[in-house]
Amino acid sequence: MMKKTCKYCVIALLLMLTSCGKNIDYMGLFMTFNESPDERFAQSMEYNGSHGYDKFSGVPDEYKVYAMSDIHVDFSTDNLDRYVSDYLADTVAAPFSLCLGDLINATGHWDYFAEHVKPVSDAGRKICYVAGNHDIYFNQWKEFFNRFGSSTYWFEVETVSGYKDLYIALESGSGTLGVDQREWLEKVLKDKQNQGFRHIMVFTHTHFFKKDSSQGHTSNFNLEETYDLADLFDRYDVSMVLQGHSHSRDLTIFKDVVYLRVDALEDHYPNAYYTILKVGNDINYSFVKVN
Amino acid sequence: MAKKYHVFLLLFLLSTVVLNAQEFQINGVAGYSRTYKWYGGVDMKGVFHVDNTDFTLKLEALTANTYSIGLTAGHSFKVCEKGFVFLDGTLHSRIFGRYKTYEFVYAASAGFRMRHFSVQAGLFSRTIDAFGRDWHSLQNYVTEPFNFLYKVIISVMGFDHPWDVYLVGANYNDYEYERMWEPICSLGGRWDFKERWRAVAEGTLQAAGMFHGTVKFYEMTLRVGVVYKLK
Repeated sequence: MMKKTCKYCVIALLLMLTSCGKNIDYMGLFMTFNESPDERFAQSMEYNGSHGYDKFSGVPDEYKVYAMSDIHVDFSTDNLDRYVSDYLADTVAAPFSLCLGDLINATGHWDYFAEHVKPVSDAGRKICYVAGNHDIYFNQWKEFFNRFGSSTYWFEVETVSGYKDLYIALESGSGTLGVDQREWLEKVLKDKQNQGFRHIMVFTHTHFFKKDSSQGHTSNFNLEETYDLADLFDRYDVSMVLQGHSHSRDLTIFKDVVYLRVDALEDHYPNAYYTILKVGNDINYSFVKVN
Repeated sequence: MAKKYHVFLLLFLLSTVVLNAQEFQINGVAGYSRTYKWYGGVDMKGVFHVDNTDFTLKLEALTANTYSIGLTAGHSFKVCEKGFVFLDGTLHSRIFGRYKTYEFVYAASAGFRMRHFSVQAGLFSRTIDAFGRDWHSLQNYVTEPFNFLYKVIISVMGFDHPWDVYLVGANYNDYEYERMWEPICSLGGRWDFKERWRAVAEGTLQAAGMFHGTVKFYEMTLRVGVVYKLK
């Protein structure tokens, strides 16, 4: 009797793990056979090689950067629509905004997402994306890459008075940068070190610190990688690291680097917010509730 | 680096003599991680029995300029013919010289062990700090207070057999305490080849992005060593 029960339990578990669940990639919880972080990084570099790196010039000395994360578009886009309309209505906002990953929730909603952010590009503005874990699982990296391009890149902002800020996008959808992206990051920081940047801003999906129980369901970087990257950001005077993933807001200052974890913008989430950074000689931030 | 190892070894031998250890273990370590790439090292463990309580002192030095020191106090109670309940408390510190960072861990757990199976669960709290921190600033250290601690061991031959092969799933080992969703999976073996001697080997595998939908390899480690029973 006991043996039979065990057998049925194992069969049920296997069926569950290998089933075509629409919203959770059960197998992906334990193993994945899609592109490695190094392979995704190589594709991003290839893209950067052919498309170049952006530069936004003529921006006011103090400018506003809109940032959103964890939109998880499934069957509705109410919060995303509100973000897009607020951003486009803000005439003093920077010509770019940041999206920290998890654009969609599961599979098959890329068209839906793309359709609802199209007004941004129609208005001559740009959303700078990084991929989150939800954008990668179910073998979706190719879809993300074909639509939004590189997930590891940098761009510069030059203000009217000649101040320069550097933004670096890092792809951390697998909870690690991988060896090659880590080396690229250090090389970029080293090359840019003496070019007189006012601020260096890093944005990525996975968060670095786990300070409270609000993050019970999400994983972070492994500890050695957390310490390694925190040391790198400290050595090269990074001003701020923006992260998402946990759906909850947090501010941590470690080694004089500000780690700002922003809220989720997901529909039906009880506390959905987007973030506005005011970047001048200092960086200030505010959070806008959308539901 | 050799000098560091000598100092480390002397410190450990001194403490085992002073504290009158019953058991002493030394392992060679080799590993590869996405952060350190290739690294090596040595770790040592001394066990002291005081009444029915085991005190275990653990030290590790890696070529990645990382050092660990930990002390665990464990007490066990026999609850049935082959079953023991045990309680563990640990103070642990890891120093990451190359990152000018260190951490303190305070852990408490309870477990149940039978001949082929051991399960343990508890909580640990971690404080992360930087070398040379401004002690007048409140914002430069990080506390991660709520971490679930777990370890499951499945032994093929039984914990009391002269040789054994075992599987471990845990988020910590003697030398590191990982976050709760970053499990460390191990496959190990031991062999009591002489009255006072035991050979041990353990390979561990750690993933990034576990329970994240995008799991990828992060680290593998191999530890090979011997245990000598002094008493």
